[in-house]
Amino acid sequence: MDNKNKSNDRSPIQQKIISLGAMLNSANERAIAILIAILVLDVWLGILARYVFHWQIPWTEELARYIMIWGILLAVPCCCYRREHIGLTSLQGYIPEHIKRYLLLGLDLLSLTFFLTLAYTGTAFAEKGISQFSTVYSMPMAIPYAAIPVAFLLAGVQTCIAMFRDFGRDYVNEDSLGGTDV
Amino acid sequence: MIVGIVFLILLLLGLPVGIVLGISGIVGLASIGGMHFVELAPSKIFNGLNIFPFLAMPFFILAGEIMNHTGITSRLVVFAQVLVGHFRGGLAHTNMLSSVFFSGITGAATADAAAFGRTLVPAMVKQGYSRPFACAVTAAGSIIGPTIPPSGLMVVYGSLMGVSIGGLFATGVLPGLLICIICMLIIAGLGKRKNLPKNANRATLKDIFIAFKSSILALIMPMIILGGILFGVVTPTEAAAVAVAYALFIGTVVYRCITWADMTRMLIRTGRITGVIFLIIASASILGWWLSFEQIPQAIAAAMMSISDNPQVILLLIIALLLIVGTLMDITAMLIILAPVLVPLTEHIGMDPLHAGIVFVLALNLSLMTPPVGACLFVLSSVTGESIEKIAVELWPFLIGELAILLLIAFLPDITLYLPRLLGF
Repeated sequence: MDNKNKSNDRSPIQQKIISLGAMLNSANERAIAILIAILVLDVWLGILARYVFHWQIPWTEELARYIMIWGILLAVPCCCYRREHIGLTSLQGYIPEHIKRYLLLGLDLLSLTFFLTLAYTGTAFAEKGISQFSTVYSMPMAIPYAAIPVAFLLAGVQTCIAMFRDFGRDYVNEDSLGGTDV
Repeated sequence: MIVGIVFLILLLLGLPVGIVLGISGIVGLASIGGMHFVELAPSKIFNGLNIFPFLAMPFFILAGEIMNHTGITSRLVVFAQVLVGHFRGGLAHTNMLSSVFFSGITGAATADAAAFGRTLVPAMVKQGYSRPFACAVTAAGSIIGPTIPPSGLMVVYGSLMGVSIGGLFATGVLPGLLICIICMLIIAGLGKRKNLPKNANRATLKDIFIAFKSSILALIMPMIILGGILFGVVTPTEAAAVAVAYALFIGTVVYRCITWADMTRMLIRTGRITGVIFLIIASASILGWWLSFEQIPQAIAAAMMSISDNPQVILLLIIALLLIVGTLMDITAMLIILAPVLVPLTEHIGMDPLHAGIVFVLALNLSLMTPPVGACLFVLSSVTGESIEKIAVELWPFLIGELAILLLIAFLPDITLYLPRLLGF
C-alpha cells in the first residue's frame, strides 16, 4: 500500500510509524466492514419484520441510523490514511516541487488541526449525551455521539501518520476508489 | 467576508473539499461567538448525518460494487454494442447506451467515468478514435448515471428538502434518456466530419437475444429498485437494501463468485466511498448552519429578486448560479449549501418541488463535467492519462447539447413531470 520504492530512504522511526499506521488502518477497515454488514442485516430485518412477518420492531430504523453514523464516520480516517478525500489539486501542478512539499505539509497540519478540534469539541458533545436518551429504546445518546470524537481523533492520528509517511511527497494509492461524485 | 476568503484560498491550495468546508464553517462559528460557538460544530455534524434516507447511499454503492464484481456489468456493454455498435461511431454510441444501462446499477458519474475510462476508452482508441474524443464521450455519458435513478444526489436532495425521493427518481428517468438521445445525435452528427470508425457487421436478432439473455439479471435490478419505490411498496432505503440482497443472490447463488474476502473488501470500499461523501456532508452542515445564522441565503435571494421578478429570469439566474459555482465546487457541498438558499426561490416563482429538484440535480450533474473543476474530467484524465484541456475541447458539443436539455426541462416542466404525475407523485 505504501510507496514501497521509497521505503529505503526512511529512518527506522519513520518506518515504525508507517507500520503502526498500516496496522491501525487494517483494524479500522475491519471495523467498518463489520458495522456495514450489521447495518445491512438490521435493515433486512426491518424489511422482513414489516412486510413478511408483520412484527412490530420499532428499533431497527433508529439502530440503523446510529450504526450508519459510526460505520461511515469511521471510514473518514481510512480515507485520510489513503489520501482519498478529494480536493482541487490541479493548481499544485504549477508549483515548483520543493515549494509544493512544504505546501502539502502545511495542508496536512491544517487537516490535523481541523480533526483535533472536532475530536476535542466532540468529546464535550458526547459527554452531554450521557444524560440524554434515544427515543425508541432509551439508549444513552453518548453512544452514537461518541462516533464524532472517536472518528475525528482517529482521522487526526491517520493524518499525522500519512504526513510522516509521505513528508510532502505525492502518495500512490494502489487500491483507489475510482471516483466518487464529489 | 473572512469565511469566503478562507474558503477560496484553502480550496485553491488543494486542501480536501470536506476539510475546506469544515474549516470555513468553524471560522464562521468562531467569528460569531468564539470557542463557545465552535463547540456547536459536533452537534451540526451529527444532525446533518442523522437522516434515515441517507442509508440508501451506502446500500446503492454496495449493490453496485457487488454487481461489478460479478462481471455482469461487462455483459451490459456487450448488449449495448449489439444494439448500436453497427452505426458510424458504434463504440461511441455503445459507450452512451451503456451509461444508461449502468445508471440503474451504479448511479455515480465518476464511478461510470472511471469504469469506462479503463475499458471503453482504450477500446475506442484502438479502433481509431482520438483519445480526447473517447474521453469526452465518456464524460458526457457519465452524468446519465446520477440523473437516471438510483441517484445519491437525489437521496440527499429529497432528504434535506423534504421532497419525495421516489418522486425525484421518477422525474429523473426522462431527462436521463433525453441526455442519451442528444449525445447520440451529436455523435451521429460528428460521425462523418470526424470520420468515426464504422463496424460493418450488424448484429443478428439471435445475437441481440443472446446478449439480452446474458445481461437480463443486471437489467432487472433497476426495475426492482424503481418498481418497489415508484409503486409505493418500499421506501428508497428499503429498495436499496433489497438491491443489495438481489446483487448478493446473483453473486453467491447464480455466479458463485463471491468469497468472504471479496465481501469484506466490498464492504470496506463501500464505507470508504461513502466516507468521502459523508465528510463533505458533515462539514457542509457546519458551514450551512453558519450561512443561515448570518441570514446569507435571504440576502442572496433578495439580491436575485432585485434583478427581476419575472419567474423565467429568476429560474435562469438559479441555473446560471448553479453552473458557475459548479465549475469550482463539489456537487454534494453545493447541494447542502445552495439548496436552502435557492429552493425557497423556486417555491416563490411557483415551481413544482419535483421540477425544481430535477433542475437542481441536472445542473449539479452538468458541473461534474465542466472545466476547470469537473470531477469526471479529473477521473478520466487520471485514468487515461489524457490532459483535461484536450478533453474539454472535444467536450463542448456535448456540453452544449446537455445544457439545451437542462433548459428544455427547466422551461417545459410538463415533459419531466409526465412520469411522476402518471405514477401519482
